[in-house]
Amino acid sequence: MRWIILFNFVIVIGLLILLAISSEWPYPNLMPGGYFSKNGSFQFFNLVLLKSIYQSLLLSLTLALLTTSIGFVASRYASNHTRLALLPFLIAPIILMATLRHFFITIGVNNTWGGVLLGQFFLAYPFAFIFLHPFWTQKLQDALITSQELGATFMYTFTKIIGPLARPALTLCFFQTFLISWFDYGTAIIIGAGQVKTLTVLVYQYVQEANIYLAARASLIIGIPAFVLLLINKHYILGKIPFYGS
Amino acid sequence: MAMWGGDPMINQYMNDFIIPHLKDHFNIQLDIAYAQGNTIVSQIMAEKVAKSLYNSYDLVWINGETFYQLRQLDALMGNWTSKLPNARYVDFDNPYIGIDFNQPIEEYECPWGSVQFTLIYNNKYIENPPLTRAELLQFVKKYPGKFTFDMGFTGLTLLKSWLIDFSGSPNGLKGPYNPDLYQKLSKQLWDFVFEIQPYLWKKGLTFPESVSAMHQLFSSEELWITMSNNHTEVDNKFYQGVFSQSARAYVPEYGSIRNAHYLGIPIKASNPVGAMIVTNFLISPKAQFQKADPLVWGDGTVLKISSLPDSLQSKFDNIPHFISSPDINDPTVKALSEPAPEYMIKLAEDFRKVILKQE
Amino acid sequence: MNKYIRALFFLPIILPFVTGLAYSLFKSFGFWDPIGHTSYSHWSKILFSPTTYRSIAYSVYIATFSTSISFALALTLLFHKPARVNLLVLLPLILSPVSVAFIFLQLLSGNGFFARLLAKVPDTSIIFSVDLTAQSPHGFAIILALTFMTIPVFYAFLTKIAEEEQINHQIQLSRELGASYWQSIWKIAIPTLIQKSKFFILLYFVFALSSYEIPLLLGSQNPKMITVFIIDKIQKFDLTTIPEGFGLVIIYSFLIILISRWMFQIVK
Repeated sequence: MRWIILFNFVIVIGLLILLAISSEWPYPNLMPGGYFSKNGSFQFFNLVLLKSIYQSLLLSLTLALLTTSIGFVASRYASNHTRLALLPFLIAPIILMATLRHFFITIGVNNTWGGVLLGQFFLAYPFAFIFLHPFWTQKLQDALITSQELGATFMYTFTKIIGPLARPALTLCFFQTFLISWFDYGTAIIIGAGQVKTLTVLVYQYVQEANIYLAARASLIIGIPAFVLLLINKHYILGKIPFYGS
Repeated sequence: MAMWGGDPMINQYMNDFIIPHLKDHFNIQLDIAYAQGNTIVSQIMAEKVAKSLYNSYDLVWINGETFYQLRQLDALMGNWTSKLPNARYVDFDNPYIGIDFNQPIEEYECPWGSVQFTLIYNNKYIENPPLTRAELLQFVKKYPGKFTFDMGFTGLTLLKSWLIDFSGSPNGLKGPYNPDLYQKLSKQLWDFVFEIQPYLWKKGLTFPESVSAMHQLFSSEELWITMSNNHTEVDNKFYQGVFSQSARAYVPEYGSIRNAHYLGIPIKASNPVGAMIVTNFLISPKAQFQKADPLVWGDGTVLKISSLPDSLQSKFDNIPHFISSPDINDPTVKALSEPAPEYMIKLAEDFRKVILKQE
Repeated sequence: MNKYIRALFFLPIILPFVTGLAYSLFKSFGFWDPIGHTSYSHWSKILFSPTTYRSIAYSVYIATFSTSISFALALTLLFHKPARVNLLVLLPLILSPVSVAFIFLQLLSGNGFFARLLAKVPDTSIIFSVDLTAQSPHGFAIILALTFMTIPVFYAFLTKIAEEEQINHQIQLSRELGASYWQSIWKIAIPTLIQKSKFFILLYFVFALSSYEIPLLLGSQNPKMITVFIIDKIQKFDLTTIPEGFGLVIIYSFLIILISRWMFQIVK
């Protein structure tokens, strides 16, 4: 098992970090070189990268907020046809967007930040819908009705009953939908038409340019919020182990 | 502006020189979208079908079959290039500049740069590079896996030059597209490709997607020959640190294709005037001189040097930093004209069908 | 009233999918084609082209291998002696598919990390007569990259299921009844976990089948995975192939719907 961890961490992530801080990798050198230097100066961030970080963050945070809040309300009204919500989730995002591009152009949101947000909403919303559906148990529904019958206002019911119970699920949903947007490439490239330069679009662009150092930097930056979310949510993601030994 | 983004030096020229200059002098914010060829055509076509009010792009970097397809769609603005003040310096009479893939440009696009295809070899391993197809066949048999061509524009340009070579004359494909001629010549072409295929990189079962990927393979010496549509790229890549000092560029005996690349304005551009101002700056002597330097890009100028003021003429005649680029003004360097765009479209389609067995 | 609210909330889920499918159907017959005309010829090109079936078969092959290998490795990880390695195993989750594709390109290309490593060891060409590098037709690099991304997902899921099904308790019980540790694992734990994971395995099979960024950077020209093939037809080849691309969308969607029906039956 250790070789899996070795491969995971040391080689893959290690190479990514090394490439991000290096400026040359001449063949046949095994390791990249020129760490923190490029002709005497080294800039981890450039203007394009900074703009892209800002754009990606804004997009992902907005999408996460939107889909979590709407998905939370919508999943309360989910019926037995929840399984149908899986379908758009199963189709490759880039294919779905290629089929919808015509409509995005017609309503005038093609190649705009708003258009990419709308496209990503179509991907993340079904996820939020399915994810939050189990939260609305019969018990909770009954508690809501009881609370309202006893005269509690909607705000009181929400803040004192639903809120505390929903917080873990909503938090996890927020993080997951954030990552759906953060990692998205297909929507940004099809609907964004190359003009909405998210970090994932930038990684591909740098690969096309054969600029592996900037591609590594952009990839590392993509990994940072995901790493933080992983640290926070580790306990929700994993079940209790270990097992009793052999 | 939609442009090919596969070369970091070109991107740097645009980001570090053009964009700031446009902002400072014309208060124009130029945003670059990386898209090329059929991706641009597909986008513009989708916008036409959806009856979009405006196109996504105000300016597109195009040539050849892209120009042809956009004209087919009636998607380009016309009658604008003569309005540009700097158009008086452009060498429209030059057949490699005023004609795009056998199509008169007729003010639907403005020339931006002029280049010629070269093969680039590694002098460390190759003393005498293959100058003919027969020599290339000998070379690949002797050194299997060291040569290939890419699936993109550059690889197709090489295939076109072989097609012209099979016609027996540099003007063999001149004039409108001739399907019967294409059928006859392409059969010979594919027979030749089949003959060299087993000795190509990865046994010819897969080809690099782009010329950038080929340059990486060349720099790691996995390939001993690469290629470029730009005759000065060998020097440009040396300055980038991608190629070593042993890289040399040459034009084979059968010649290579010389052409120009252009800027077009989509018919529903939201800011056509802005696009014209940008184009005017891009064809200005200042911008043309800046990009002619291999330290920056090494792209040939479209300007008629004799029409420039004397001080500028001497600057263009003495562009520094060339090392191994062939002099395309040398009469011994054989230049071929681009054939009609349908040849390129058919070649791309048949390459997928015949060689890759992909329909 | 609830019925209408339900419909309103369900609309953004189902409408894009249905609209996209309907649009693809019309486009595949050449509707709204500015340079062509409506015709069945695009469908005959798709249905009678071996490349279509090769692409689908290749996608299924890649998805099957990557899903099976990652599930098997995740199971192995679950029953190995415990160590404080959870975070390391989950690390691939922080990388986007395009980043994974990029780094595997640097690892497996002809001038990548492993090629440089092997260059230092003589006579390895005999061992590696099969092309295992990126962009080889065997899809080795794609399978490896997809496996890398999926192992932590399966691992996390299996830990949850193992906790819910009280696998520990089951193993303990069976050992008390005389079974060895590995007998307990093979006869009780693994069958239970597989049974409970069927839906999840199929889900990730579909994700692997629908992968785009990884085969885009790591795949060969022939065969291509279906998603890459579709986008090439719609965007990158010439205008005449666009209706064929949309026809392939219909075939691909049909395949997804078939698999999803199977998934729904499991859930039932």
